[in-house]
Amino acid sequence: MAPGGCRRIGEPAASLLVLGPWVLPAARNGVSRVIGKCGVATDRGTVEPLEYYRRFLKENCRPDGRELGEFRATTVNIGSITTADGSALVKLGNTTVICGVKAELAAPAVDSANKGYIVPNVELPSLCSTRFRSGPPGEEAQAASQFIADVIENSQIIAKEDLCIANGKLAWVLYCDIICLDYDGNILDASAFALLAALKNVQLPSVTINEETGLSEVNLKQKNPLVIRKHPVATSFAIFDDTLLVVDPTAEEEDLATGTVTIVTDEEDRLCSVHKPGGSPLTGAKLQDCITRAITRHKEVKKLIDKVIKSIKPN
Amino acid sequence: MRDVSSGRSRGTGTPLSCHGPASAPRPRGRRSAPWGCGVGVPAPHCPPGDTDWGSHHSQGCRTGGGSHHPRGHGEGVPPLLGLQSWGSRHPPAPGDMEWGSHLPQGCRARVPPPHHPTGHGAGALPDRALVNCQYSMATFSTGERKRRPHGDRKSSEMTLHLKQTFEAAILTELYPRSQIDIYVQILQADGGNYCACVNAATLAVIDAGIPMRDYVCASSAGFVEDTALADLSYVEEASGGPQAALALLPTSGQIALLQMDSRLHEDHLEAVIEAASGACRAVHAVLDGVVRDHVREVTALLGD
Repeated sequence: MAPGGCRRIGEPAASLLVLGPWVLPAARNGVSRVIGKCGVATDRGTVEPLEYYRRFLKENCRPDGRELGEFRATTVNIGSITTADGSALVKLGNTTVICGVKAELAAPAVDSANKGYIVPNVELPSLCSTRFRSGPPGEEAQAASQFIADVIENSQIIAKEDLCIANGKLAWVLYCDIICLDYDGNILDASAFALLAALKNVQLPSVTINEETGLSEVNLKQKNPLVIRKHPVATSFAIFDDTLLVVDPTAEEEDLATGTVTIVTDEEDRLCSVHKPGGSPLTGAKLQDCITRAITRHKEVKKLIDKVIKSIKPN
Repeated sequence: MRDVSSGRSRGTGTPLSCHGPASAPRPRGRRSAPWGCGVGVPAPHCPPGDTDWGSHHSQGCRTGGGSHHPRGHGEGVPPLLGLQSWGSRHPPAPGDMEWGSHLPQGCRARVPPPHHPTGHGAGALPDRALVNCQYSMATFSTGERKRRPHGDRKSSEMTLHLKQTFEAAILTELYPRSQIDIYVQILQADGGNYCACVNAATLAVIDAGIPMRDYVCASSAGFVEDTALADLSYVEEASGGPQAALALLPTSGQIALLQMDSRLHEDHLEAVIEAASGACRAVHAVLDGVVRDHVREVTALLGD
C-alpha cells in the first residue's frame, strides 16, 4: 500500500506541519501581570481553580499564555499508518487523536441501493486519560461518535453515492476509527479534523464486477482517491461565568467551564452544525461571534490540510 | 534487527532523536519497515508522563546464531538501531511532537501513577502492588480490519503475558496495597506485537518513575533453513516456521518470559535464544541511550 506521506525520521517532515501559536505580546504581559499582582502566584490552580482561572480571564489571557481566541499549536501528520487505507494523526496542543480509515466491501441496504456506508467510531480508551475507565464505551465517547456521524451526514463530506460500485450489489463501507491517544480537551475539534485529513488520504482500489462469474475483482495496483465534496471544520468554545467565551479549551478549562459550544462550518462559510449541549445560556450576539471565529478557523485549517496533502510525494 | 529509530521530545517541544550507526546499503527491493510504538507512563509523584515511542525498523540483516543471513539478497547488513520515543509532559508547552510518519509497527503505552486498586474484585495485596495490564489493538492496525480490538482470546493472553513479565521486573514490594496499570495500544501491527509492547511499556514505566529491577527488552526470533533470525516481521511470522518470543533483563541476562509455540529441534533452541538475546541487548542499548539523554535534558532544564 502506498505509504503516502512518509518521512524518515531525521529528514525534514514536510508532511508534518504546524500552525504555531502566535502569542501576542499582550497575552504575555497579561500572564506576567497576573503573576505579578499576587507576587508569585501562590495558588497554582489547585486550591481554588476557578478563582485562579478568573484572575487570568480578567486580563484577557489564559494560564498557558494564550489569548481567549487563540488555538493551540495544531499539528497534522497524514498517511502514517500503512495498514489503514487512510490515516491521519492530529495534535491540538497535547490532545492527540489518530484516525484510521479501513474500507471493506458490502452489499448496499435495500432501501438505498446506490449508497455506500461511512461508519465512524470515536474511542476514548483508558490510555488517553485517567478519567476514562476501561470497559464499554462511556458517555463521552458515544456522544463524540454521534457528533462525528452527524457532521458526516450534515456536511455531505462524501456523497454516499460515490461509494457505490454496483447498484444494489456492491458498495464500499468506510470504517473510520478515531482513537484518542492523549486527552487534553477539545476532542470534538481534533476528531473532526483527523477524520477530514484521513478521508483526504484514503486511496480506494478500483473494483470491477466480473460479468460471467458475478464476483468482484479488486485491483490493488490501481487506486483512486476519494472525492471529498465539502470540508467541514469544527471549532469548540467553552463558556465561563455565562459571559466569557474561550476557544479551544484544555481539559482543565472544560472542567471549569459552565458550558460548551461547537460550531462546524464548511468552506462556503455555511454552517453545518451548531452543537450546544445545555450549559449556561448564550445570547445571539455571542453566538454570532462564535460563528465568525469558526469561519476564520476554517480558513486556517483548510490551508494547513492543503499544505500537508501537497507535501505527500506520490509513491 | 529491524531499524529502530528513537527520538524523544518533551512538552517543551524539543525533539530529541538519536540514531544508531548508519546502515550499509540495504538489500534492494526490501521495504523499510518502521516499527513504531508509543509509550506513555505517568509518574507516581511527577506529573503524568507520556512517552510516544516509535521505533523504525528496517529489514536489514538478521543477526543469526552463527552466520549473518541477510534476507533475500547476499549482502551482510549490520543491524541499524534507532528507537523513537517521544515524551510529553504536563504542564504542556505549545510544542510540536514529532511522530514517525511511517510506522510499520506502532504501539503506544501509558502507565498512570500507582493508585488505589479499582474494583474488579481483585482487591489489594497487602505486601505488594497489583500490576494490571490492558492490551488492545486499533481496528486499523492489521491488514484485515480487526473486529474485536480487545477481549478476545489473543488479547487476553497478551495481557496476561505482559502482566507476568512486568511483575517480574517491577519492584512491587515498594507499593503495597496499590495498583499499577499498564495500558498498551497497538496502532499498526507488523509482527512482534508482544515485543513492541514490552519495549514500549518498559520506557513507560521508567518514565513514570516506578522502580524496576532492570530494563525489560523483548524480541522475537525464528529459525529458517538452519539460521536463526531475530525480530520477525508479520510476513515471516505468518510463513509458519518456528518462532519464539523472549523478554530479557539484559544486565543480569535473566529471562523474564520465553514463549515458543512451534516444533523446533532442541539442538536449535540455543541458537534461537542467542539470536533473540542479541537483539534484546541491542534494544537495551538504544533504550538506555534514550533514557539517559532524556534525564540529561531534564536535569539541564530543571537546573536552570
